[in-house]
Amino acid sequence: MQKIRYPEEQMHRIAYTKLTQRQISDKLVAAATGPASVSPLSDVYAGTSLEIVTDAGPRLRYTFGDANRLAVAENGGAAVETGYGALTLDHVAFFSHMVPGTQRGYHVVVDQATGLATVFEVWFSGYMDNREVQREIYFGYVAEPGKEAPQARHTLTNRVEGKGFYWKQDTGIETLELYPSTIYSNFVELTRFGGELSFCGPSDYVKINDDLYVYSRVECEFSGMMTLYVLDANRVEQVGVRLGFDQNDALEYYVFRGSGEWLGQIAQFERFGDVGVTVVPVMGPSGNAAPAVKGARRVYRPLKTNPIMTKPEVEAAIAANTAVFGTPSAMAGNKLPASDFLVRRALTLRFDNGPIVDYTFDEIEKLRWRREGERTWREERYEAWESAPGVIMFAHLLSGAPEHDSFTIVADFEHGLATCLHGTMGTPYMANEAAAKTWFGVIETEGLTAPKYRRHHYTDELVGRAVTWNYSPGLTSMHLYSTPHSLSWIIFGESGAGGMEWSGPASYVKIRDDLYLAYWLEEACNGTLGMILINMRTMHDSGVGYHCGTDGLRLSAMGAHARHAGRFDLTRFYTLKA
Amino acid sequence: MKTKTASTRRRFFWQAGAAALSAPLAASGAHATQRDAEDTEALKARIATLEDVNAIRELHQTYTRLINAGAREEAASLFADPREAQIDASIRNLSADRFGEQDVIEIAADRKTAAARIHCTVELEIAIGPSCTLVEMARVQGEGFLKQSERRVIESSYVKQDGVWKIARSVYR
Repeated sequence: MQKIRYPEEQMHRIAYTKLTQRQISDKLVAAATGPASVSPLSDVYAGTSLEIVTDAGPRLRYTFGDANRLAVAENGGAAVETGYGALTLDHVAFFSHMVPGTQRGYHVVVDQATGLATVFEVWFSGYMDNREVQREIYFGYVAEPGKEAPQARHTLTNRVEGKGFYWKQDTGIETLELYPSTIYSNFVELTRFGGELSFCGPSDYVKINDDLYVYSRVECEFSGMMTLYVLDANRVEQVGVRLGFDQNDALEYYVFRGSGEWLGQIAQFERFGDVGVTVVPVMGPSGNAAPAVKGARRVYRPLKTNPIMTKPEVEAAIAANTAVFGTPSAMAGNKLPASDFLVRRALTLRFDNGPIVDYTFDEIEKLRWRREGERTWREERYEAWESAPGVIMFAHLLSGAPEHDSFTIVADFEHGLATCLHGTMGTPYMANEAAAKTWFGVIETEGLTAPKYRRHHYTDELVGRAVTWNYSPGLTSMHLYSTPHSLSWIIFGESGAGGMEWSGPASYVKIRDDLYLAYWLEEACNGTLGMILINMRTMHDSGVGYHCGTDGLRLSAMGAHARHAGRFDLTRFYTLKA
Repeated sequence: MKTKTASTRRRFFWQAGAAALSAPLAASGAHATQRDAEDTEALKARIATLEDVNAIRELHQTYTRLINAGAREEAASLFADPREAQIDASIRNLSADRFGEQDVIEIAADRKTAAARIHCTVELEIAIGPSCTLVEMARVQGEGFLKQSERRVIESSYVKQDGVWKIARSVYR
């Protein structure tokens, strides 16, 4: 019996149906009875009335019947009946309902201790992909006759930034959810998608008090599903809602209760005293700051900025322009100096699961190579860096190879070991998307006897770590090594708050203690294969980017200074258990 | 702001006015009448020059305000030929009203052209490049620029068109 349910395709490979507005309306008919729930619904409001006033938003007058039916009047309009589901978490009541006959609904959070409320108005068909849930957040309070409106409000916050939790819903669904940003988050679907990769979605963080927060995310560029919950950071409990359409276009609309484990806290980089009441400003559809647009938020849509190319387009672009360690990119501002360690050396790299390759290094940027048994040498431009004493990373293209292959090799001359990341251009999904294979092997050269059995090996020692990388002035990101097979990268906002985030498949190889070779693939994105040798002692890396776009093929250097930003306790969730 | 002269011709013009104003008043008769007339002309010329200086200063301040507001097209309209307006795209802010001893506005004797050297601080946003994934993401986030401040000198020449001063050319050194 298979213990882990892996999907046929991971989330970024699923061709989600472009649902029409009509299809969505038809599917939402089922929501009129309210959200499903495994846990018993709360009757906290049964038989009562509630009026919520929001700032610059709707005034909602509720009349609750039993624990499943309510009538809602928006802005003094006629009341309409609909199903709802409510759950409580300590002194916070949460309920969700749709508005019949529309594609809109509300997720409402009421702090019964303070009378303050946060209302998420949600709707479909508000973006070119109709299935993507849109939201607008309103802050307000529960109006009580004869009582003055409170001055305080719930607020957007950065106080959740850096936290991470394991959650298990009452549905049995398990996730790891990491919040390294103030506007994005990571989620690892342990149950739904087998926990191989982490994904990212634009997110909201609202502070109720120092323990309690509201979190929401929308799986933009994927299913468009919304997950929203109130979380208690101390007790590690949650109540919330899922709303949207899954990969089979089935409506998911349920409220849930969950509990979990705190996974740690990584660093924040805002100034001391900045609690993020105003987080990274939202953006309008034009890309300019436009807070007046309802539902506006910053969303990274990689395939909008990185067009998918056909194979002929790729071939033409590469024929027109192939740059090997040409003009340094912004990612190379802090690269290590080129090393002459290899110059005048001759060696053979013998990979167990790959080719046997002879090398002669003539100059600091010129090498010759041939496969075992070949007579003819081929000349290539290369660059090499000595990341640690005796550990050389070098890379070159295989000119004329049908898949525009690249070799990026880490050779440890003190231990006789070598690992090659074999990059090729083109996957079954995109012609301008790189793929990578890892070959482990040994160095054969004069004066060096290679080990027979020992090899570099895959590792999970980096999993959970967050490391910032400053590539050049003004260009800093943070890596979050979120699973043994994926890597997320986060861009900082001007205040130092975590901003946009995205994620891709990755792999980690241990070269030596505190020295790791990592690669990540920007799949369904710009197709780049990034390869870095991370030295956790010097907190500096050396690396190579392998990329094909409309501007041709590039093999380019990377290099950045690092800061350790902390670590989440994640590794135990990725081991295969008996 | 102080106005100074640099060329002999302009110095002559400017100093002629100043000399006239500073001439002793103890004169008499025909000489006195002639001198009064000369004084009046010199005073008129000096006032006219000061008006030109003020007009150019206002033109510069308007230009600065428009640049700071990101209104590049409007800023270009201040040029005699807007097509010749070469406004550095990386400039996000010019410090206005920080004129000091070293700033110079020179009015030509015929009051049809002028030149200025004005020291300022410019705040620059230089696009980080060449592009890569991180830069693309930063752009979407409204960033991806290297921000820095620099002390610069704006060297401008001006021309009067239909009685209105226009910028002929403006260069940041």
